[in-house]
Amino acid sequence: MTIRSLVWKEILQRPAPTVAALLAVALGVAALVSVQSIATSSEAQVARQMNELGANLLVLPKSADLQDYYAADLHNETLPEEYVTTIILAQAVGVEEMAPKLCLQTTIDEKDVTLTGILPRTEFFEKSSWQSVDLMFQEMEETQLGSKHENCTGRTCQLTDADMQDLKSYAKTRVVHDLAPFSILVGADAARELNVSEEDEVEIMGESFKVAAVLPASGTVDDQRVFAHLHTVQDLSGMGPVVNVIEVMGCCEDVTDGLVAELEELLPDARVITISQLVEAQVSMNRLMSRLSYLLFAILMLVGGASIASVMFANVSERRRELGTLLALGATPALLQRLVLMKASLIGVVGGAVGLLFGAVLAFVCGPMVVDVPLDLSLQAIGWGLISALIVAMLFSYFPARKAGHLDPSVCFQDV
Amino acid sequence: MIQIENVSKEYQRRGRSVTALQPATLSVEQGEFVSIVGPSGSGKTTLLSMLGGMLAPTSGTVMVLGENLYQLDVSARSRFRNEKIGFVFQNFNLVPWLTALENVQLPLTIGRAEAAVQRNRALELLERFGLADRADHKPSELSAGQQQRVALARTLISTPRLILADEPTGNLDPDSRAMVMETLRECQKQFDQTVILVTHDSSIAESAERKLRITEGVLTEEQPRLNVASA
Amino acid sequence: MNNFIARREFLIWTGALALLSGAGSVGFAAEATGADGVEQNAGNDQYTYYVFYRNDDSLTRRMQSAVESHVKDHAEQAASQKVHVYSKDDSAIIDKFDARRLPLPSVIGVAPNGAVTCIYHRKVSAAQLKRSILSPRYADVVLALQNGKIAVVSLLPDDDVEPSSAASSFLKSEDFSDRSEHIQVSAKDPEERDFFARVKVSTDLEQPKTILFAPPGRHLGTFDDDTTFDVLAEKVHSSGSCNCEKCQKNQGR
Repeated sequence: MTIRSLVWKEILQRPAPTVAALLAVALGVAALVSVQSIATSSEAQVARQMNELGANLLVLPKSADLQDYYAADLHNETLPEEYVTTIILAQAVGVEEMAPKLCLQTTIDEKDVTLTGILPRTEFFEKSSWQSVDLMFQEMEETQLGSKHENCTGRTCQLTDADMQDLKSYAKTRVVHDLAPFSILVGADAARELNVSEEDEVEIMGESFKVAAVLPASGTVDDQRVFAHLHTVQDLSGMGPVVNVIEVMGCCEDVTDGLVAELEELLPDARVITISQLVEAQVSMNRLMSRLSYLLFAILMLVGGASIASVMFANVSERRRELGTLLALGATPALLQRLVLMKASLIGVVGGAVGLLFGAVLAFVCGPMVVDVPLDLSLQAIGWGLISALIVAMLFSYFPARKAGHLDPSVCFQDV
Repeated sequence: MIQIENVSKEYQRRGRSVTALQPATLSVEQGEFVSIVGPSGSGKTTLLSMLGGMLAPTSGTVMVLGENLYQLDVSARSRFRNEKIGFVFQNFNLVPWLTALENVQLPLTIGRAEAAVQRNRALELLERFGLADRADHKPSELSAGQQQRVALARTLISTPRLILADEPTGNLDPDSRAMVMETLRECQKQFDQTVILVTHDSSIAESAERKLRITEGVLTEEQPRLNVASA
Repeated sequence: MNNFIARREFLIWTGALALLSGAGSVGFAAEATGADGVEQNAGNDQYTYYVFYRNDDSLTRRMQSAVESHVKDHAEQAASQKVHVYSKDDSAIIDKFDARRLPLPSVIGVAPNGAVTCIYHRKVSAAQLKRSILSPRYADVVLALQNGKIAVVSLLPDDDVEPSSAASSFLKSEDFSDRSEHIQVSAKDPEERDFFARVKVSTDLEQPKTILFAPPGRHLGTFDDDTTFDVLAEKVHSSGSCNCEKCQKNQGR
């Protein structure tokens, strides 16, 4: 038998108070781990969005409400499509691509789908080429134009037309080179649900469409959509040449601020927002969650600590004669203190581990309601949780341990 | 073996000084069997505690096996107690959540002996006391007599030079009482252990080689040493 | 590495790639659909200015007045037509220019060869309209660019001078022969003086010069006679206006 097994046997003998103290600690760690993991994953999602879309802008109707970049077109407000041409003709520095969209809720084989109209590049490149003379004039007269932007290594700058000619690349690039009037691109989830594959014919609102491509999964709401040519969707909707949103893809974040001002001036009836504005709410929510989780953790750890202290005091009192007998058998006061602290540390460690497990389960269950990225556990929270649980358990057991160490050994002779 | 010089003990209780033991001087030789009698609250247990290194006297010195107990630091005194002194209690003081075997092992566990040594030695003693088949029983599953035998085994496992017994037969039936006393005597003879026994039982007290009495904190010798020097 | 982006990004970069790779589907002028007005005026060697509008408001009237004044100044060369974007009679021209999706009012100028020489919306100045009247060869350059081709312009001291050997090699090369168009301009041609003025080359040149333009209107450089083919090719490859396999590979695509 060892001192450690002595501690373990005593806990097994009186599990209820130990479990109660352990649960209090576990709750604190669970709260910290779950909330922090969700907050961290949400931060990662924001960072990914900023990385992927940081240079992008959304041009929206002023009254449109916006929660999510990928669902920016899911509202009933519209803008005239001429805004697209207005942006092209303005020759704004930094505009690399544009993706105007119009959404129409409809059914395919009695299943609800979002039919999204997208404009292929060929449609507006033609208009951009009508400015050749002006461009040549500016090139010859103003050779320094745009020089401030010459070191751009933006993401979409790297995309080639050939990339976009592959219709499947839409999932990544969000732009297609060309799309026939009655061709559709089907998102991965939608294809599965509708049970369609490439070359299939699908009837939408009385018109027959051919599935030009099934898009690879992108992990966004686009996976549940069906895409068709914007002008076809406009005709089907009977809404005329309008769009719900114009996604303007900037070549890099350096140009974003200037571009926002330029577009706001150009389109006074529209609302121009950046990704950073869009994620601002999410970022402050994350911060709040993170702070609250630490506060909650601190409170629960204090409660846990108090519970441990109370359990340990009661334990030492109950075991007075037992501890006195150990002293009579030759145990040092330091050994009795160690017995108490070992029990406390076991509560801390096991409580922390249980809390970690509980927190992880909670995060994986509740996480998807808050963020739509694969959830990663916050290693920092796990570290803080486990270490704090141990420290709190030891700290709050200090006085009970001291009490054990100062026990009068002759208590073993008393009939207690 | 034991040499106490002018040892006294005073307590402070509610601002008043209470004398538990008047200055006393006593010597006990190795292998002696000494009984201490006296009414309740007279200072018997106080004397026993001081001899066991668990209660520092207010004055005087306590020498056990050549060590001035209260000049040792706490951990050295604990170690000394672990190795040299064994206690037998009226209420057995078994740890209720340990088995008989584990209870017997306790002094060796505290002394960090190897697990196999602890186990073998404990089993040996339980067998000697006829409790081999009860090794895995908890104290609550044993009779009072069996519990005291387990406690005795625990006391003897470290082969102490001094056994301090506080009314070891107080809660026992006559058979068990006889068995306990027989064991203590055997130990005394076989291992030359010194036994100091506090008791209310006059027949047990009388059977001791020396009989001491404490009345209101005053230690007197009623039955002097029998040929101890020549024994 | 991406200094090509230092220009007017959207129009130049993406436009260039789109036009180079998808030339046929983009250059509307080459298709010459049945828009009567365009054909008629093209036959007359005239520029046509279409003023598209939805409401006959002050902006439209101002634009119309600027266009009419410009047409009056170039009576021999230009004509104008005011088109309501929902007019059934003009549906061919409206569809051709997708006018219902243009910001209105807009003016589009079309050269006799079919090249679109200007597009302005809401307002237009006399100088801008004047700039849209081009010399015949300059209009050819613009048409080539709108057809998605690299325009290789040979500025020659006289009609009988051969273009530079670099230009000839460029036009015959494997990488560029399908994607470039040659336009020769003689300094002795009085109609082309404006061309020389626009590209800032003196008509007194002694040796041929070569200018490269990439869609939709990038000036890649003006090169002397002794420039080698490699220099021209390198200029195109490094400009980002090229979408050949080599360039894609170099850019790690």
